[in-house]
Amino acid sequence: MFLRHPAVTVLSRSSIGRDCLILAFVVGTAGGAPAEDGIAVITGPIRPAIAFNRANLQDIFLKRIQVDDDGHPLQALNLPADDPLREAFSIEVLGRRPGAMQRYWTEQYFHGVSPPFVVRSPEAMVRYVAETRGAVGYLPQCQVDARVQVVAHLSVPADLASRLRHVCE
Amino acid sequence: MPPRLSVLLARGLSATLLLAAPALAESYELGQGYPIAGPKLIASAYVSLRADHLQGENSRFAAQDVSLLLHGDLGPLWHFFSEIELSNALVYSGDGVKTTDADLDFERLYLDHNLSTRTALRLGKFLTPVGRWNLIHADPLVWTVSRPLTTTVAFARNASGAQILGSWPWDEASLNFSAYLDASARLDPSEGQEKTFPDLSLRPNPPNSFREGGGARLAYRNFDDSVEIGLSLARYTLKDLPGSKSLLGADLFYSHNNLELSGESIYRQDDRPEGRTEWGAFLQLALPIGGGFHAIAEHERYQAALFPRPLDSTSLGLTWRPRPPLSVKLERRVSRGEEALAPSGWLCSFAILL
Repeated sequence: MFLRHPAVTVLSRSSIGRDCLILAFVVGTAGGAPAEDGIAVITGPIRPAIAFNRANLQDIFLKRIQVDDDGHPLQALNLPADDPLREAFSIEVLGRRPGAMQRYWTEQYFHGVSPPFVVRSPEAMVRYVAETRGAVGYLPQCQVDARVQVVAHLSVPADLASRLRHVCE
Repeated sequence: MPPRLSVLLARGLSATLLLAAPALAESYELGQGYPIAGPKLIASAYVSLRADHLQGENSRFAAQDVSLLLHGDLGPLWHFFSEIELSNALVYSGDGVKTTDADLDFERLYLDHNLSTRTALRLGKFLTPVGRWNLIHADPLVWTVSRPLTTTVAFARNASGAQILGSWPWDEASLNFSAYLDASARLDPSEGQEKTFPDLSLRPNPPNSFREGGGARLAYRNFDDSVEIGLSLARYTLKDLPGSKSLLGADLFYSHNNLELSGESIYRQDDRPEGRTEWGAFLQLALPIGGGFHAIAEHERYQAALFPRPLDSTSLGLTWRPRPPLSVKLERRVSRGEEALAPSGWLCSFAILL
């Protein structure tokens, strides 16, 4: 069951694979209290008409969902495969590291479905998301600015939080 | 559809969609196509070369498949997809080099319309959703050179008509469904060229195509797609074969650390009292052994309605897949029983998805 406009939903995942990143997944509105660390899921100024819970977010990034509830197209964006933020996002949301997705996308390509676009940097992510209706991306929470809105937040383990803080300093 | 028309169709779509190409540039990656007009029109192809030395058949080398895939968006809610396949373009066997077996056909040609976030309507010619193999049957995507009979003989590989398909979350997993109605006899006059047992000289070997029918597939996938369990149902009539057929199929896929275990089974009943049932099942293991190599083991048991005895076929092989879109395969097959359906021998192939 989807929550179209959730207040704050906290989901937890005990483990994913051998490397066991333990993350909390918080879905909130743009007005929710932001965490200082972690990953922000972002859209442009016009928020797509869809609940950004984990199931929907997974299916948006797997291209199983390609339009929102109003029929507007959604466009998932990724950072490069070797970016630690991409890796954390991929493990939490898709259950696999980016390198493990290649087989999935090869099979999907056989059905005419291409993987999400890759942008080269968080700044490129912000610019593309801000200017493209329906674009959905992610950033270190500390790099979010007024051009985009946060539609979900993923908290991260301490080591990655430390690396993200370093990026922001 | 004649090939000349397909070229015109591709050029027309390319010219139309070029106008809508966004500024985002994408670099080419093997197996993910080439954007002709940005993300709005993407072209790709796969090529499969095959050589086999089978008992009772001439040794053979063939440009087995050359397929051109073209897909793109037609506005926010519509998506088109086409696959034009040239099979057996060049065959070298005991009779010398032949091009007369060449067959050009639209393997798939359809429009998808998003009905909601999780549901789409598909209109056109598409792969029949029975089992998992038929939906990803391209040589670069499967582990063996030969295709299990369970995945192809008892039903037509393509259907023409309408299909509803979608995906729904279920706890942390997802349920994927598709249901379709087929009217191949009225909608696809080109159907009937492909044989039930392709590339074999045995008799009888009727066309592998529906007259009309319908069916559905429901599949469970866990959170990371490492487990898939599917159930397929269909009822249909086949070209050049009497009676209605009812089919029940089940399929399983499991992967862990690049090890893959998969299997499918089908059971087909004929509604005529004299009609024979057809059934089969296979199990396949792909075991990673390093360097992009996988050892492959497969066993299949199949009872074809048109032949008196069941077939037992065991294959052992080695597949080198340095990257998912590229594979080189070597396979030794040993068959017993109705051996003509899958003759014993050696098979190898090279396949690439561009």
